[in-house]
Formats: sequence, structure tokens, C-alpha cells
Amino acid sequence: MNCRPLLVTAVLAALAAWVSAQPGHGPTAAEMLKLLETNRGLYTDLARSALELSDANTSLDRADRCRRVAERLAREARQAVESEDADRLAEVSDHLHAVSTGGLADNLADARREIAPASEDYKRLLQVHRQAFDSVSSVKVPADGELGRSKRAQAAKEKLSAAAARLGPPPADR
Amino acid sequence: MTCDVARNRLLALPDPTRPTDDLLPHLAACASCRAAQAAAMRLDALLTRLPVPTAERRKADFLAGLETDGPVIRSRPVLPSTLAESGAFRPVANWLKRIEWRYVGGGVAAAVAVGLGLFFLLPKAKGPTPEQAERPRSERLARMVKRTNELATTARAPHQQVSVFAGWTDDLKGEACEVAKVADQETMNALARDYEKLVAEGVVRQARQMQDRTPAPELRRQALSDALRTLAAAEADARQLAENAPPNAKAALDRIARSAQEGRASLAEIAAQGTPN
Repeated sequence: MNCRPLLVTAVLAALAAWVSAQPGHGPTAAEMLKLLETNRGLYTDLARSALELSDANTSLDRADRCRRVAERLAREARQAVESEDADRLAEVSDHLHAVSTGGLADNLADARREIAPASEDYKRLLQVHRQAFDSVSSVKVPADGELGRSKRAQAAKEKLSAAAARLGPPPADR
Repeated sequence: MTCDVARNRLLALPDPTRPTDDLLPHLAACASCRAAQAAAMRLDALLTRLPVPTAERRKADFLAGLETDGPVIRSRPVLPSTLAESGAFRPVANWLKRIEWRYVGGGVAAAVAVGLGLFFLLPKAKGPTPEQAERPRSERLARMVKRTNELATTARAPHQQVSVFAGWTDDLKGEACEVAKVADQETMNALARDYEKLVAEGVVRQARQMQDRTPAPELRRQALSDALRTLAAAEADARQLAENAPPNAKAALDRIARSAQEGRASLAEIAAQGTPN
């Protein structure tokens, strides 16, 4: 039996499947440089915040450091809204959502459990919570215009709403 | 009536001896036309004296002459009943005969198999997407956010933070090496500055805090060992790249290599001081 056609078929199929399974190429050096220039200020600020975060020894301090990271990302998101940059808004909103629902929400919850109401720390906790909630809520994605027509921008809006809902307003406001 | 007209009519008559009535006045008055009439009559008389073959012989001679020259149409043409019989497709048919159909079949089978595989394996698009393709996102920013969350939640102990910051410095070194050929001096210096800061205030600082806050020697030793390896690799990479780097990047890469070297020396010192065995 002549197996040559079958063998050729199998090899071609395997080769094509392997090629199609390869991941897409990463960004080029020029693209990386552009990203670097776009994010330079954010990189520096987040690195500083991370160093400060590593020195925080209480849940409240960690929540406050995370709140600063969230505020920095929220500022970036507001700038994206101003410039009607849906891609940037989507990218930054994802990160803001991650920090808000991750380190920030977890440490606020821990701090509420650890700190006695009516203490000085509790007042500070309420303040940190209020500032964090305000930061996340401060990004107003319009429902009309360029961003109103963008699915990515509207998805970012939903992410931000989810992040604000996860934090919720501080107890005194409820 | 002119002489030309009169003579043409005389020649057209079946019998020039009996001219028509309209010719008679002209013939009576014109001597030259009378002479022409006389010549026509003489010519007819001479013609009647020529020998004439019989009708049967004449037919036989005619047919024999035709056959001697051969038939004008030697074979009866056969018209094609279809376009295919006309031969118009003959070159295409010859080309198709030369194809190795076994291999064509194999190729088609492979294409079908791969197409079906891709159809079922690749994620399906949910309807049309009118927006343009999304711009590439910063992977470094995503990792920074992820590490920030780790520092705030799962990596609160110093030995965990040593690992987080070591990974962070590795990202920075990698990015510096990637963009070294295209970045300007200021950008490269900013990367080197961030690298230096994260090594000194992140990796080394947390390594020092391990002495008091991470009691398990195994955890300390592991964290130090991993960080030492990361910094050693960064130093080697940065030095190697600096050798052939453009002038705007060379100083920054040297600075990264030096920071990694100093960080390694500090970690080695911490390991010697605080880790038993």
C-alpha cells in the first residue's frame, strides 16, 4: 500500500496546526518604547507606591497605600475620558478595578474587623474608605459622544461601577 | 436615334435580317448602320456553318471534364454536436491529466482538517466589531498592578516581598534590554534609576527585614537564593548588552549591571550574617 499521500497529508496538517497554535508575536521594541513613554509617570508613581506599601505594617496603612494607587489610576482614567481615548480608558479601568477589588477592598475589610469603632484609627479608616470610593467614582464615562459609541469605553464604565460597588460608600454614609 | 443605339439593338436581335420597326427609319437614312447590319447578318451566317455536337455527346463530354478535374469537395464535413467535441477544451484536459490527484487530495484533506480544527478551537467572535483593533497594552503595567496587589494581600511577609521586588527588577531589566537600541538616553536613565531604587529599597531592604520578621531560616534562604540568582542574571545580561549598545544606552545598562552587582553583594552579606548553615 502506498502510504505517501497519507503521510504528506498528516505532516501538512500537523505543521499547519502547529503554526496556527503559535502565540502572536509580542510588541516590537518601537511599540515597547511607545508604551514606556506613555506610561513613564505611572511606572514611577506605582513603583514608589509599591515601596511604600511594602513598609506598611497594618491593614489600614496598606489600604491607604492601595487607595493612593487607585487614586493615581483614577487620574489616568479621567485623562483618558477627557481625551476620549477608549483604549486607554479600558486598560486603566481594568487595573483600577483590579486594585480596588483586590488589595484595597481586602485591606479595608480587614481594617474594619481590626479597628474598634469610635477610635482615632476608625475615623481615619472612614476617611480612607471615603477617599477610595470617591476616587473610583470620580471617573465619569459619558453615555454619548465618542466614548458613548465605544463598546470598550462602555465596558470600562461597567468595570468602574463594579469596582465602586465592591468598595461601597463608607459606613457613615449608608 | 444615334448610330450607337441602333447598332447595339441590331446585335441584340435574334435575327439581324429582320430589324424592328423603330430601327427601320434610322437604317434607311444611315449607310454605316446598314453596313453594320450587313456585318451582323454575315457573322450569323458564318456561325451556322460551325459543326455542332449532338446533345448526348455534349453531356458526356461535360461530365467527363468535371471528373478529370476532381471533385471540389473531397470529404463531407462533420459538424460537432457539442462544445466539448469541438476540441476547445483539449488544452485544459491535457493539463488536468498531468496533475497528481493523490497529492491534491492530500492537500485538500489537510486544509479541511486544519480549517475544522481552527473553527472549533479558536474563540468565536460575538458579532461584528465596528471598533478598530485595540492598541497594545503595557504588559509591564499589568504586572506592576498584579505585584502591587500581591504586596497588599498575599505577599506581606518580607521574604515574599523580596521575591516580588526581585521579579519587578527583572521586568525592568528586561525592558531596558529590549528598548536599548531605540530609546533615548533620558528614557534609559529613567529605567536604570527605577532599577537601582527597586534593588536597594525593595529587594535589599526587605531582605534585611527578613532577619526579624521571617523567622523560618528555610524561607529566608530560599528568598535570598532566588533573588541572588535573578540579580546575577541581570548583571550578566546588562553587561553583555552594554558592550555593543549604542552610546545613549551604554551608561544606563552599565548602571543596571552595577546596581545588580551591589544588590548581590548586599544579599550575600545578609545571607552570611543572618542565615544559619
